[in-house]
Amino acid sequence: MADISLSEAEKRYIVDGVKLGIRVDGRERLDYRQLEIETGLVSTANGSARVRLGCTDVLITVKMEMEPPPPQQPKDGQIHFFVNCSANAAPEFEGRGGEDLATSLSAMLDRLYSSPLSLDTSRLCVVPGKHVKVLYVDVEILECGGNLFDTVSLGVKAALWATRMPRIYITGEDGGELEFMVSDNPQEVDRVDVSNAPILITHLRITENLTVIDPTPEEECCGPVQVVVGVTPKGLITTTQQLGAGTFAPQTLSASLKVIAFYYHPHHAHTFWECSSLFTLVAASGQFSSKT
Amino acid sequence: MTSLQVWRTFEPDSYYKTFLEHSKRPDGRGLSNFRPINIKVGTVTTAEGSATVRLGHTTVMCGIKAEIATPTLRHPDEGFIVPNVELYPCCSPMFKAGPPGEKAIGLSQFLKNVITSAEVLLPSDLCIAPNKFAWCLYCDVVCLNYDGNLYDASLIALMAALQNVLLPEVSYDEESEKATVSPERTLPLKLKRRPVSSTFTMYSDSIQLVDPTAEDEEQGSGEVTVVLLEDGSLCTIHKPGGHSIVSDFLDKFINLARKRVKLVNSAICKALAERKV
Amino acid sequence: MSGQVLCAVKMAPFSAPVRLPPQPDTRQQEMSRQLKDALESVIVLEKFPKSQIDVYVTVIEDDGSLLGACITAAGLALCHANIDVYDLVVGASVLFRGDVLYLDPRREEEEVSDNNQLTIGMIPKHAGGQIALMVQRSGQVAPQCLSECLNAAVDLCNRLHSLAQKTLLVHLQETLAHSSSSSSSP
Repeated sequence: MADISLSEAEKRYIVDGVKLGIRVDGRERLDYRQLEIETGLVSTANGSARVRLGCTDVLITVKMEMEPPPPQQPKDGQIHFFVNCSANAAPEFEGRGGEDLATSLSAMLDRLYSSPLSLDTSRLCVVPGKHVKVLYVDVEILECGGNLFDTVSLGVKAALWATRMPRIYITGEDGGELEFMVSDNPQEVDRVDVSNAPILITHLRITENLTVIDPTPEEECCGPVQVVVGVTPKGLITTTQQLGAGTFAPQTLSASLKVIAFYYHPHHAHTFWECSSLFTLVAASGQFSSKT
Repeated sequence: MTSLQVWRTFEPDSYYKTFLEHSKRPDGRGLSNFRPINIKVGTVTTAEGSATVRLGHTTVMCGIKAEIATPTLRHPDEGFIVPNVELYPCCSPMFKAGPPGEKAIGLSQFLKNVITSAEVLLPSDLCIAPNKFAWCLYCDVVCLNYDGNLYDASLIALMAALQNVLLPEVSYDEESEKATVSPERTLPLKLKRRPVSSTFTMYSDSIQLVDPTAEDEEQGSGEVTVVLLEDGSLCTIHKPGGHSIVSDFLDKFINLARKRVKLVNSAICKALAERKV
Repeated sequence: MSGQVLCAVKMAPFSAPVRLPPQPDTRQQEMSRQLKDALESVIVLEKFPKSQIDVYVTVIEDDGSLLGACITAAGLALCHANIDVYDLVVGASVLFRGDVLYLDPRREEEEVSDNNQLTIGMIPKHAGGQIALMVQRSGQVAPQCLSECLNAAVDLCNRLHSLAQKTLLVHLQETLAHSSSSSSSP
């Protein structure tokens, strides 16, 4: 995604390294880079998170509003995603340059959270048919250092986890209009259940049948095609999308999907799954960061 | 490339003119011959009524979607008929993607004018309950292949599709102010008039061409569209600029168009009958 | 600079059960982008330097498996336009609900919630079969299941490919017969 040009020799170095199972920065094919998650940075938002994965840096804020629901789903709250590719993140995002990436990112997030199994939107309902909570998730891309999809999805999950919505009480009814009281007690808050929320894992195709996860921008130059897989903590796949110009052999795709299962094996759960369980524990105390 | 094709590519004007000098057109037709019409109705199952019309190589498709809407305050007992023409880049390199161009807007307006001035369908017939509910018919005409004379093709497609429409019966309950749709019982529309248009291209003071192809339209200088009702009476004449014409020619056009009215309406009837069998 | 591909999928307003406004919605934009991804990996773009290939798809009626049908249509049109491709691209869709696998699902089957739909675009005769596009949406499914869906879709693509090839061949024969008869007559 970032605008880097590599010589043939440099590309060869990366590709041959991957064939031997070593990557330029010393990782193995299926290793993540150092991951830092910080929550609760923006005091004006209901929830926020900043995620750094290698050089990629994203800031996510969640704001809650009360709105009337659409007539076809009177009992479901809503979640909307807006992605902004800041021109600071990469020079090609200047002007309308980042729009394409932003729409594909927000479409991906929409799909990730569209299933009631991922996020139970019925719990965001206040009065069926009249008032539901709507979550506006704003994604700000601060720095683009490869593997944007995974970083953003981790950030969204973290920000939703950190979201505190003041509790709403219905105090009475006046001429058909309901009266509300919003609790100002900081202890009385509702939270979003993200225990089943999926995250994205990107596989980048380097050669014929070898893929790497969490690619750096240099690696993204070597293989234009990647497959983004949305996966829940239970190891179920919610969405898959192949991106970029290039093809996969069906066997490679199947193998990539099986790798997902591999992450759930207790002996191999060493990368971000540890982190994501960590952040549910540690983040309770506010700000935190974890290292892999 | 044959020498004929070379001539056509590099000297399109002289190529075309030579045909006209022999009172012929490049597609083999005489100057006052129409192209064959091919009509099929009920081609889209997602629409309440639909028709596909081929006029030579020009192919258009009309699909009618019916929605229940609230009537306006000014006309509380009237429904809506909204014709809309879409010219996608698929059908000709002339059209670009994006918002509708001049031609598409002009065509939509033309269809709207014909429907209202000919009183094809009384808006009051589309009313379900005054002030509350009325049908809104979205008549979308999509061009699949463009080879001239979209005016005639779209109007034929629109008329055929309107005659193919089956609206579900709606009962209105005054007490609960609710409308219930019963999809199993359907009714056709009550069409009052069946207008047919005929388009002519002006090439020069003395040469006029009937049912122009895209090439004719490009070589000519403006079109005249004559719309007649099924009994042969004149409904409208549509002439958006272009070369001026002598009124004698207009009489000639109307006479030619009169013959076409019967032809087109019987073709639509035939297509509808074929569908029912 | 090698060639560029521009894709636009346009659904006619009457193609869906509810009328679509003439402005493209997010679904059409998403399909255009997905189709572009598929075609970019199929067209031999090195052969079209400094040029752009515009692919416009008009949807007349949506009765399910729409993206797959768009890919197949675009693939056939590219071949008809004599544009160099690695192989004729075909698209297919499978749906997985409970324990049942639906090949080439209809719209009513798609609309039921709690199902997984997998659409792939494939060039079956290039380098032992390559997948140019894979899209799966909604629902939750185990990786093993998804692999099975993928195999089913690949199988469907293979069958579709031979049919599409036959169609092209018949078209070619007809054109040849037509041109030889017309060139001999004058």
